[in-house]
Amino acid sequence: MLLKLLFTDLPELFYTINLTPPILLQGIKFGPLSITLITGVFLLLAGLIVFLFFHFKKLGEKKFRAILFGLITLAWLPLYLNFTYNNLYDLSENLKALKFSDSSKRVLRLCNMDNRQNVGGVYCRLFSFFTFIKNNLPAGTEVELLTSPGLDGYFNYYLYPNYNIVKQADYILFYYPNSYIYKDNILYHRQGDKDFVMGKYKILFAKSNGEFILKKQ
Amino acid sequence: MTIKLILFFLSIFIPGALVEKLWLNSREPFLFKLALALGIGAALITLELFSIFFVLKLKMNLAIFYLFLIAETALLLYLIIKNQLNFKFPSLKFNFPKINLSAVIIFILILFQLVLLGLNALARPPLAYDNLTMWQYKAKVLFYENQINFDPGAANYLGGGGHINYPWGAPLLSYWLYANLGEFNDLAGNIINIIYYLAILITLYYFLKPYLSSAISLFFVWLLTTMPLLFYHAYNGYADLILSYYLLLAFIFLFYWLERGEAKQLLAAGIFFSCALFVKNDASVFAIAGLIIILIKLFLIDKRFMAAIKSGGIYLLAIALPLLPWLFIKIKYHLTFSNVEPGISYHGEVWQNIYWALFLNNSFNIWWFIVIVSLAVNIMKIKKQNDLLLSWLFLILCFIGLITLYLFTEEYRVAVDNTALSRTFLTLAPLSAALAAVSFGRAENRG
Repeated sequence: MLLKLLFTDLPELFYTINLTPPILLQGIKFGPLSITLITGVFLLLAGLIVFLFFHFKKLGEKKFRAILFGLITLAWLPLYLNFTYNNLYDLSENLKALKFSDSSKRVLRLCNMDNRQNVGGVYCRLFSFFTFIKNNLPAGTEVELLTSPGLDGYFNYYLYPNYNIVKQADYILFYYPNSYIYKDNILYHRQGDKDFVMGKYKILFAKSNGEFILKKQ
Repeated sequence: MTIKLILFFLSIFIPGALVEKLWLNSREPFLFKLALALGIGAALITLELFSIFFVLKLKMNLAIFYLFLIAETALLLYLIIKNQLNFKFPSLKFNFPKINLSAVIIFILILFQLVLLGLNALARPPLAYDNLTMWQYKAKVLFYENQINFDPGAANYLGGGGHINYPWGAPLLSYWLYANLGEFNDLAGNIINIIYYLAILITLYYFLKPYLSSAISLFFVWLLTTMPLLFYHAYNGYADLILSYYLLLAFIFLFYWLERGEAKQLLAAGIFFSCALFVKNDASVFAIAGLIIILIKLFLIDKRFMAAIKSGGIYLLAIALPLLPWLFIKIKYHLTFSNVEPGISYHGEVWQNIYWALFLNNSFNIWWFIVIVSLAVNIMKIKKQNDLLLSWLFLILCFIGLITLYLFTEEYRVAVDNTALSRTFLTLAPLSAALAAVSFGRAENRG
């Protein structure tokens, strides 16, 4: 509890590969301030003062460097400690995951990211849908994929080389697509506020509402 | 699995070490040479694989390729013997170093980061989007199809994946790992970035060691290990970290050339820029920055017009020659350097994202502030020493090149949506660490 007060959780999210978000100090008169900016500006100002002392011969070079490296360490520490706190949290998760199979590690990691980023479970359920496909469609089948942008990459990667994802096929993998509706054996493509009929399809296998395999009729 | 992994590493390190001996014959410490051998060996093997798959359009036959590698190793050994270059194995004599408590503490902190990294790599299979859609996808397709598909109508045309115009350095190295393992195992693929990460740390330490104390050199290595984004990339398979490694090597040899003026160093810088260009197209910005530095030094500072032309030519040849197979394929299949439509217009909104990426986000802790402090407090020394001055100018030109790209071209999209901006600055982190740290070095320790 005390740790939660002192440190900020920075769990692994889908965008962690692109950037690490700032840690903001809340409740400050001028609005939330990034700790990176606060400690960085502190280092710039303190460094400048020490440098002026050195420049006007009030400090020897050895002492100047020692103070400067001390300041760098001091300014580095707040975010480093927070980084370590998050790393230790990851460590405890990793130690648990080590004994899992590779596929379980994959599911755990994806579900954790899905859950922490509040994506709604569509990523987390992916692997059970892949297993569902594997159990119901023979390998080598040509399939068409209807899903949301961002999920297609996972299908292409994990279904290869067992299934050929093509632009048009008799079988459709229907997995929470944004702009497609399946109703009364008809598949519609929604463009703007109009629904265009794509064709007549029957549900071959259904896993849940929003996850099924369709076959062209 | 262990033996297959060893075979994979031997196939990289042995030719890499032999080429290093033949070409650079450097007197650097053993671990630094090992880090260099990784860079050279990986570039060599991926260029050979590229030539087989793309230029010769052949299917991979592992037995024949192993025979080729053995013949290549024998030839390199023969050349070393012929040139009377003694190949010394690392000394087994161990001189107990003088114990410096601060160096020991920092070393333990670095080891701690490496343990955390190792556990992340073992417990977290690749899931990041670009890795699955591009880097690992290309390696996976190649592993199962054993050849490149040249049919423009095929789903996996020219290897498939997100961008067919991307260089093949990183996917081919992953492919080579899986080919050695005999199975597609992307969790094991995590090891590639870890090895590059270690190579970056080792290279940085041994580059700084002649200029700074062990403790200060290790201190900068520790700063690098605790930058959150760099650490995350060390077990997530993107190519940015590999690019940053080649860029660090290219910078180091450019620095040596500025300091000592040996043509060999300039050639090395060019070749490492070439390796970087085989990893990501972004490296072209850094290679141009390198050329500008060479011309400024010889033309404006030394006033040697012919030398500027000659050195610039050597540098450009060193970049272009290893890349010929890739450039040939780029031209033949009309592959561009950029992913976006051509067009020039100003996108001022990018400035805010750049400010966030460098000074507000936590991707690099407060690293870019430290770079500014290092430049500011060492400015008098930098002004007096051309090698330092030009090295800083190189870093600034790299930044200007990237920022210009984001401000004036359609690349601005990846800056505005934050998908690539911080990752691009990440490639400059190791080289900026080398530069910021070496600027603190005493003048008498240099040269």
